[in-house]
Amino acid sequence: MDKPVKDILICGGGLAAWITAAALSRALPDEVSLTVLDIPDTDKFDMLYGTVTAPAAYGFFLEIGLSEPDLLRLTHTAFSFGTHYMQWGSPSRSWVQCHHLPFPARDNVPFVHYFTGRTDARLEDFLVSAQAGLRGVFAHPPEQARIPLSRAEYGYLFSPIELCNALKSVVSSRNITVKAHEIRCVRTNETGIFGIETADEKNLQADLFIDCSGPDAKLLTALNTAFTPEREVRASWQCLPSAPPWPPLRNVHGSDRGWTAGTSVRGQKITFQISDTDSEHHKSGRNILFGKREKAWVGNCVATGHAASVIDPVSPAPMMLLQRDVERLLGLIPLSEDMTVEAREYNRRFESDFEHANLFNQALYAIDDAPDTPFWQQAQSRGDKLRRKISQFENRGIPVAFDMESFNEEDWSILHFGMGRKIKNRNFFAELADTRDIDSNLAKLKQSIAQTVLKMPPHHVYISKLIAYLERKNVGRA
Amino acid sequence: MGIQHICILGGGTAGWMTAAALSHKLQKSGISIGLVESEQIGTVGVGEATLPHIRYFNRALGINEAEFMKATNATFKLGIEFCDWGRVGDSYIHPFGDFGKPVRNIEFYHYWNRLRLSGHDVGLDEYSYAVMAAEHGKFHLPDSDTKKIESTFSYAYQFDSSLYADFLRAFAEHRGVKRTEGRVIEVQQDNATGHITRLKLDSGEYIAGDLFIDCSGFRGLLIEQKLSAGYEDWSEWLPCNRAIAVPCEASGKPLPYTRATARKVGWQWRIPLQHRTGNGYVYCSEFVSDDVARETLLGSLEGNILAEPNRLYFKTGRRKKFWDKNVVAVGLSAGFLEPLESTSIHLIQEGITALVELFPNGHANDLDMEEYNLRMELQFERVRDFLLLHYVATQRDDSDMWRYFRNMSLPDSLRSKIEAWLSRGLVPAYERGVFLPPSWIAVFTGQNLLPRGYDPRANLLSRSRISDMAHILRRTVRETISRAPDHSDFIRSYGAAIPELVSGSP
Repeated sequence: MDKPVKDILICGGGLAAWITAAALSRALPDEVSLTVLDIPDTDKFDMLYGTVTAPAAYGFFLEIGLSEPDLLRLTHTAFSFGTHYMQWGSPSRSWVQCHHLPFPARDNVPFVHYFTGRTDARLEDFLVSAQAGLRGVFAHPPEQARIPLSRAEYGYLFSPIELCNALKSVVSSRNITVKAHEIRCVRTNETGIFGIETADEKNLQADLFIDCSGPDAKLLTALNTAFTPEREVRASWQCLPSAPPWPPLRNVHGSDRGWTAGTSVRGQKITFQISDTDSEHHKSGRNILFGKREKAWVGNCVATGHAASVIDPVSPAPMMLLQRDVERLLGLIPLSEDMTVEAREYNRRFESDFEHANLFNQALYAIDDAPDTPFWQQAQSRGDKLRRKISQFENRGIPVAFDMESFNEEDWSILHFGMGRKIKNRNFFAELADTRDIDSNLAKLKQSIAQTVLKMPPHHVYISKLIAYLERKNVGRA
Repeated sequence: MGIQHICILGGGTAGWMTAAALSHKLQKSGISIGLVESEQIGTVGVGEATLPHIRYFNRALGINEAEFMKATNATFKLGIEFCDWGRVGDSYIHPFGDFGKPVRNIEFYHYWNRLRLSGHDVGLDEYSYAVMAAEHGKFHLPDSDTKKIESTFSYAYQFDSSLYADFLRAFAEHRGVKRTEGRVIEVQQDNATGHITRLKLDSGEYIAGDLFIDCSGFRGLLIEQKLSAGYEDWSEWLPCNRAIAVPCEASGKPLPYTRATARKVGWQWRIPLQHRTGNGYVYCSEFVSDDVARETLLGSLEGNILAEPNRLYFKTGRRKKFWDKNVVAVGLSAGFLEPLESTSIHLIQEGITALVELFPNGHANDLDMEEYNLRMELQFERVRDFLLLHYVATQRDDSDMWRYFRNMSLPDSLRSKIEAWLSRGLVPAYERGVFLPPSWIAVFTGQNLLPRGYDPRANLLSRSRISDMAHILRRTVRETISRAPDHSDFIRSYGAAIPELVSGSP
């Protein structure tokens, strides 16, 4: 075989860089040397990773060596049952986009069809994670399938800055070299990068360069990889101290000009605002381009996080994509300097992951009577796949799914119902089912969810007790 | 007013599977279901092999497994043995099951690749419970405890498909499906919509319907001959276009697997039923004459023939529209892919499943059709690529046919899949499609396409640890299988044996 990959250089100092470093340092044997070039200021857009994760983050963090107890101990992370969208596109549109395991089906009738054509029952009344979220209570979903709470799933509410620092400290005990410098120039030839010159005039070399330098993508840009913009917005954010209660939901308020998200982590409230670029009222923000690189792997250089794509944080899509970038890379660590196969597979899946995560965001904005303002009009897009998702749901409530989507069927059903999309034709089998039987089952389900939620503690109380317990048991690092 | 009457045209496996499924699912709906078929002369018990998914089809209908097996002469199937595909003299089993279990979230085959590249010469199949059980003629139901090695496989059946059709016919007729004997001599359409309104039979009787399921076989009496839905021809990739089939006496105990032996031109199947063996030879008329094909088949049977050989003519490909106007094509009328991986019945099942899921309340509209067609397109295409892999992942060049495959330019999706595997043992996966990574790995390794490199994450464990782990796994597989029951004994103890098998051996 040709020259093996022995040196990997991660260029960047924000969340993408440290998550990539944490993942690689766990997945690679010691013979491979790992260096992080901690470029100052590359974390300045990290807030665009959003402040919320999907349930998949639990397993991913564990995999890269950040257990839940560590996450709670090292950061002010809180639990999330989902996102509460309010006044979304119109004053009356509000729902909880909660995380939930597959819905029950009876007599061939998918659960969502119980709600077709009814005005007296809403899907979210029957989802324990939505109800618990609205009441501000939390407990870990148990494994026993009979308990309604076992159907709930949860993600995290977090500060990207804190998460980044936590990863840095986790990684510090591992075998990684860290250098903190600006990049002065990226030296390229026809096969890719052959060196990175830093501000202290060192020339760093590696077999594989990982671009984690944020939206500027300093390495990919040096390789002339174009960025395909989707739209431009203005964004701003701030953190303020906040007292309990902290809802186990992220709130997203829509307005004519954009939206404002509020995330309560423990003791702090992070407010994030997005509007169109011309907004007079939003002068303090920075302009942000959403979009993706034409290719995320070119020659011997691969990008993760914002260097590969910047996606709207209106949903957990940004963290989902960051996780996908890293997982994709872990399965494709090149074996030699010929990285053709790895690059092709990485780019193929990158393309599809981005497209599918973006579909969900686009579906959030796909409102026929959206406000006639620049923000909402620019956010409209109707590609073929999105049209198929929406038209099939509206036709007969059929879930259309593509390969390896980050958002699952439940996410999509909750989204469609939450946004008030109507199923025009009732499901054939729902029509045959005994309505009284369905009604009585729904009533029972609703009651058992209500009872469960009543017994759950307020989110902040649950977390304080959990942390006290973890400290007592000395779980996590000392 | 929506669909009141469904008319299924054709009573083969596709027709009766559709009739059984719809009569079960639609039982409370008031929709009537009719099936038109013309009595076939001398239906021959040619074996047919299936995929594990068929168990869900039967289970959803509430069919008792042992009864069904007894009624169809069925045996259990753990996979397919491919002989002479990579090179003449080679053989391997593509199992319904995994190769070992993941360690630290890394699939076992990555570790195996590492061992292999450093001199370890144990085949990957020795780590597969399904392969080893099949080779030893053993069978039992998978264990429900996922920690045990006996849980790492699935199974299907090998049965007499005309008996399966009869079995499902009884099931469907019991649920009100009205069977009409007759040959269609005229198909009438609505002038305005082009929808099919009724069929005129040779008896003079008219059969009307709101929805027609075309199970008329390859010619597609409604979908093609009337609606001209079009056919996407895949002969360029899968040029075999004829088959000849014949049952023969079995020469020993039935094996729990199907065999597909590559020939100079085409390939031959062997499907063991409880008391006889189904055989067939699939070939390409451009490279071999019908007479030579017949001689090849008859000259390689293990026992006396039990019926006259049956000839089949086909063209690989798929219908451009599986659902057009008020006609849905299911079975051979939807497309044909050679039965190398037992996908014929599976594609029927996929068609029925999609139809049930999308079943229109009221009239069907363009969106129903579009969704059905997109789903079936993907199923057919993904099966095609997997079938083609068998022909191109080979070192054979001993005939014009094998040289034809050598010089073929592959579909991009398949080419990059092969390259990814060869360079580092990577199998780009998808979710929607029948054949998952273990199937691809079975064919790659079985046909001597071995990776030059392996996933570096397999270096996290030391070589000696991996070697120990592999050794223990292999021993566990062997020991567990030595205690497993013999396939025919299991069929008998399961209450699934037909009289010939009950009395057939000790």
